[in-house]
Amino acid sequence: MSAWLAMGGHGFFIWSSYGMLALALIVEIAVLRRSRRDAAERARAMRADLNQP
Amino acid sequence: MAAINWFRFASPASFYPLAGKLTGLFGWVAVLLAIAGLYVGFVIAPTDAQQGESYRIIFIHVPAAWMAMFIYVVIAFWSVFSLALNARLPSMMAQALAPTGALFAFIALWTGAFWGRPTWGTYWVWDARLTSTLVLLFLYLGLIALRSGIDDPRRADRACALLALVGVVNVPIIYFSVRWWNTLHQGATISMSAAPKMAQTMLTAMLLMTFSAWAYAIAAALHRVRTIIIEREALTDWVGRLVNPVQRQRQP
Repeated sequence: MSAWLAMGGHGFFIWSSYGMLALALIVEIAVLRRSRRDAAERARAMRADLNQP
Repeated sequence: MAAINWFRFASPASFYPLAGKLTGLFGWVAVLLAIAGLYVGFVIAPTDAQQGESYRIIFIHVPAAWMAMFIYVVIAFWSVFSLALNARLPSMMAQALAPTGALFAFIALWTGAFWGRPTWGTYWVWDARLTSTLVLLFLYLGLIALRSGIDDPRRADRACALLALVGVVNVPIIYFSVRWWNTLHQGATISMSAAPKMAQTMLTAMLLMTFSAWAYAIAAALHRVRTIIIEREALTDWVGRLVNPVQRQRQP
């Protein structure tokens, strides 16, 4: 397993590349979900203001 | 199929539920293709005779670079639509694609640096291909910044559409840079006019990862466009029904 992870001495370069991709995808998906929640929340607040007499 | 009126989906209200279904579909397609691509790329594909194992970065580097260029062209396409038709949805699509395009441009540069170090002996050179790709990342960041700097969404749509169209000239520069200038970056591995210069399993892995990146970009853009629709149509009745906790039938 550790021999496979070492990737013939290139492990650092390969896993830095794949690791950053994984991190970027995790961050983007988290931001997407969060902004959906925030947008719905703001839309609800705007409706509530609108319905005030 | 002929019975479907496609123009119906040009309205955000009818596009919203369709985009929701497609987001999930393309998300799962992206996951399955990535699993297949990584399996072929790391388990089946052999070690490269010249580069050893470091070449395996190609499975994310090339798809990311292709997507970074392609997404910019798609943004320019939607920008033409939004300027010509003055329609809402094309601008929203252009807006939704920019962050994912920036992500792929960044990943192309990052993985290129970590591939360049073991192969060329350096993380970065001011080479035509690398520099023009860096400009592409800045164009994406410029689109995002310009949008957030203009309060009126319709004015922001027009400004961003113009920037996108001016910037699209950079895409052929990136693509042909390895032919027009002497660069450290290698020439095209895959081209329309010649047989691929790589082993079949390596090519298979790279194409699977490319299709996965396509599906991911579609899923991410559709997810983001639905959020943009909620933001920009917040005062319409249908969004009100969508987000209202009393009348809500499903989570937005």
